[in-house]
Amino acid sequence: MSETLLDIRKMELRYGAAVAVRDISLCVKRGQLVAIIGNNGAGKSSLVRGATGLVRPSGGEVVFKGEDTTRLAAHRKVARGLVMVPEGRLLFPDQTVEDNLILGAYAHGGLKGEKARAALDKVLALFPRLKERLRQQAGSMSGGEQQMLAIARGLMGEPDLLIIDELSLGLAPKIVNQLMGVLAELNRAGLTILLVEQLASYALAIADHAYVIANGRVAHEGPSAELARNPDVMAAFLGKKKHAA
Amino acid sequence: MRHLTLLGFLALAAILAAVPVTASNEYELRLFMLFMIYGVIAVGLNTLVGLTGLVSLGQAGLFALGSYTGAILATRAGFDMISASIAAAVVAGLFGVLLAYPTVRVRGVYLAVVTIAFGIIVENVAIEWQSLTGGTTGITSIPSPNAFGVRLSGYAFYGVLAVTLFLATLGTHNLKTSRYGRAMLAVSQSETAARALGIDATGMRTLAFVVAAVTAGLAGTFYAFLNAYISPDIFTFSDSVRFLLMVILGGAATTFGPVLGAYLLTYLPEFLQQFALWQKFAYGALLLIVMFALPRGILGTAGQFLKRLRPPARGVDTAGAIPAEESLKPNARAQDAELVARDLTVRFGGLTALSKASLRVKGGEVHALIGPNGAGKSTFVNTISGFYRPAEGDCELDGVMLTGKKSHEIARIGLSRTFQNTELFGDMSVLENVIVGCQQRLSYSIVDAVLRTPRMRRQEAEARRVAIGLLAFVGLEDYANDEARFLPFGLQRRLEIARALAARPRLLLLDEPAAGLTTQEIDDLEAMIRRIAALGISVLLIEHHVDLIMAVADTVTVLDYGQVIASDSPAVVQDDPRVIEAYFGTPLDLSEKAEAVA
Amino acid sequence: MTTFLQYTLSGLAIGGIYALVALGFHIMWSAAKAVNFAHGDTLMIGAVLAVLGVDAGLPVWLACLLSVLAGGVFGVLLERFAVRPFLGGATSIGWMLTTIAVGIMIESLATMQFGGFSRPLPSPGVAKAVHIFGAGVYPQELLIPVVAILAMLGLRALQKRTLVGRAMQAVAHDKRAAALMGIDVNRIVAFSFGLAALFGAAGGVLVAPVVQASATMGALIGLKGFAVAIIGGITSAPGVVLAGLAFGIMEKFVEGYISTAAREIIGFSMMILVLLVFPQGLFGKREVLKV
Repeated sequence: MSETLLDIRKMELRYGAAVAVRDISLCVKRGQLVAIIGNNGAGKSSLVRGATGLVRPSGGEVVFKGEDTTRLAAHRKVARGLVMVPEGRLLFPDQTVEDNLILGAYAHGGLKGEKARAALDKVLALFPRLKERLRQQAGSMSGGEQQMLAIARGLMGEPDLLIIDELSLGLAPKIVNQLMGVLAELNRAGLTILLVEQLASYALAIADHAYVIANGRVAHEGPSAELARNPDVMAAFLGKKKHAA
Repeated sequence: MRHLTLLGFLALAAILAAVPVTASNEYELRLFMLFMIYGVIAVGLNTLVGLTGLVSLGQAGLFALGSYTGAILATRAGFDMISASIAAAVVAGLFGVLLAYPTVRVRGVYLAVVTIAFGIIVENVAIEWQSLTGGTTGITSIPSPNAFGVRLSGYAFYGVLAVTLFLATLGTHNLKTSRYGRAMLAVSQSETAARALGIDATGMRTLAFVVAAVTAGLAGTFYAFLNAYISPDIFTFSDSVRFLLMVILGGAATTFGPVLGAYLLTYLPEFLQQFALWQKFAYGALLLIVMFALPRGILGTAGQFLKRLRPPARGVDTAGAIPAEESLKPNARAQDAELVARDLTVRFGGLTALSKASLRVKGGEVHALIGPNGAGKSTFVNTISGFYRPAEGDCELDGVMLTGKKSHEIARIGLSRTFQNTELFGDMSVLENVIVGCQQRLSYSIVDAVLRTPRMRRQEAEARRVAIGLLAFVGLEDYANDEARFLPFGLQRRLEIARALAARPRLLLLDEPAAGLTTQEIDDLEAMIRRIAALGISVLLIEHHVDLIMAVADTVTVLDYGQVIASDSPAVVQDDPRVIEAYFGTPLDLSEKAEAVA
Repeated sequence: MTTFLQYTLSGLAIGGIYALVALGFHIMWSAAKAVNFAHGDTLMIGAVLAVLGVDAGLPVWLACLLSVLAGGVFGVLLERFAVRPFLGGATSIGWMLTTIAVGIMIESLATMQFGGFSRPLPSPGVAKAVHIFGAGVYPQELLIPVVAILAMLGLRALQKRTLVGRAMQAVAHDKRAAALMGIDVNRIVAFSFGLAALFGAAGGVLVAPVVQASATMGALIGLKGFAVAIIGGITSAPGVVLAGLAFGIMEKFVEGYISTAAREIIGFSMMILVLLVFPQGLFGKREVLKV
């Protein structure tokens, strides 16, 4: 049994009066690629925002590498190896690709050390297209390239766990496929990934384990292959249940 | 609360009447008169700061404008105090309109800086325009207070000031509790929602600026007559800060707060004199303490405390309410309530968010608009409701063109909406939120509002009955007096629907009404949408909860990448392969993985 | 010709001060979407402390250095205690009034220490005027715009080449995205206010030998610096420096040909007009609002 990296216990999260996450427990082990799928507004993004400390959960615990990090601010979690590629990518569009990558390594002092240089080389080898555009403004690139940069920037943080929120947002299917392939490869190379995705089939195809979130709760959970075959999961997305009955 | 207000006015009248009797010397009386002048400025400024939420740090400029206008008319043209003060109020009011104009484009700090700049400009024009203003020496020969050719005694002048302060306080209070004041509060709490309810936000801000300017102009003339001498150095930036502090210290948006604030800050310098050198320091420290300890001001905090001590009844009696079925009846001339959007294209920079999207909501139907995240649904909604302008295409409701109109005009034509992230007027009560929605049913003028004429009372009473009926319609009558922001989220959604209905829509646009609701609440919502449609109101539903859509929608239109990819009955759309792909994605082809890295 | 050159040169000097102050507003606004309304008093702190330092027997350079540093510390403290508690509120009225309040207190303290007088700071830069085509200026005056431009270039270099500079830009763009990089946003904001205050205090030290230091010297310069930042576009560092220098020159011409009162009227009217036509300033970036 490998080490549990992220352990979310009974998280509840509110925005004012609105409850986004009602009661979710979730667990990611080292080396896994876990997917969180569910319709828009189901609470997926809120869940990971709560996990990374961008929003403070109103209940429950977030344990990372054995430490209770529920009340820790986001920037402190990054230093501990919990890195997120946020929904909508949130690049720094006026800064160059290189600047974005350097900022990704902020927690490790930017590009100061040998280690950071090595990380940069590795990331650029993974995304050769970024290498050609190091001096270009991040905002001037295509959507697919921006998502690559967002992932690359996340990798520069030398994460133990990389959370990716809505990878497919606004991207053409072909590009989504490519990026999913990259994630699968990164995972095979040992990176633990938590993938939050609306387009379930993509996520289920590469994940080991998946959670289906609906209405702020876990509706289904299990090995992705099983979930992909489960008719209830499809029904939860297209609302067939009510009418089939 | 109402009794307290009445009591407050009685107390104010009593104090104003008692002071001249009890004042022991002329200096004391004079200081009190100065307070009354400041009080007039403060209650006017309160309309701007407290109700509309705009910060003016140039009130001294308007005050100066009034002072100079009054003084010049009195010394050069022989106006008496009353006619001079009216003329000054008009001139200041015109400058108020001018000052409000920038709010179309800038708010917050920028607006504050514009008002500061205005104050400095006025001060320096007074210095520069020597032939008219006497330059740095100022105007010295201001006659003693007079009215209609009769010289006023000290007590008579006192009487004029006392009556002015009393009426200014009463007038602004009446304004606050009228449709105008409600609209101002609504604009300050959520301009988006206010506009979507048909409120002309720019108009309301202009009105608030005018009220603040007119009172400052009036006070300015009185000041000139009280002092018999004015010069540019009386009207500085620090005076503007002081006027603003009067409102904040006393309690912004409260009726008597500004009067109390003006009183305290008029007498404070007297009190601070004992600190000698430390006087200014203590003043700064006081400002700092107020901001930290009493951000709502003295009366604002007291009011809250009182509310907690004796909370008002939560619910409201529904007897006499006008039922929704009646208040939402379509107008006599039958309307189809049909919305047609043709080839709408919207671009943000280089990004095309919406590309030739067409949609037709047939009269009385429930039409759902769905699509994955980023498909352009929100853009569509914001475009038809007038918050974005389309690059191409247009949109009409019952043959009336909506494209090119402002959002509040579109709302008046009959399109009401709710918001994805609820946009309630959080500090207002649940009932008041709905009454704001009734804005278009009220037609009384500002004069009616200030004087509380029978016409105003009648319309207000009716709006209240309609609003209570609508609260009953959505099942919120037991929460009528709660502050909207304290409602549980599911009820906030319902309140938003009731408020949108109050605007008497032909088409109701619901933007993700089920987001964040529990399963039970979604079932309730489903029933409510059916009841709304049964009233003959078309519903355009933007939603992710497929269960809900399948249950209530007559037609479903699917957007993906800004384009309409399907539009048909729910059952057909559900099995459309393009829709399934849009929601599920193309299954991963593993052979493509090899080229992924390339 | 000589008059023309004279006005231009002395305009550049005072314009350089506006530019330094406006740069401070640019830095604060970028970091926090809030500013110190009493930023002019930071300039006053620099000037007044330098004079007091010389009084106490310190060498001029040390007095200047210490007073600039003191200004920086003031900026950091002000952010922490007067601005931060009010950030994220619905309106900006909170930090506007608290910073104004601090300004009033600082001015009053300075008046007590300094008396109501104006006093020059001794500087070798004003020992002897130099003549350029007949126009007489002090070397100190020529130094000011140079320092302003160097400050702008230095700021640019900081943003392009250092980690903290990149972090400042990241925070300016999106605080949440910055936090996800591991950046301590509060610290960067505090640093920004400190840096802005350093620029302000440096402006005070530079201008004190020319215009004399007094407890009230900061108020108007601060407001004008803000006006300049708005005209140039508060999001653009080169924009505000350019606007500052131009504003200074404009002032000297109006002052020379009309009067000081006309100077204020025209200057502030210009600001309002620019704001109406270009709400983002002449060189600023439009800030997109979404419903």
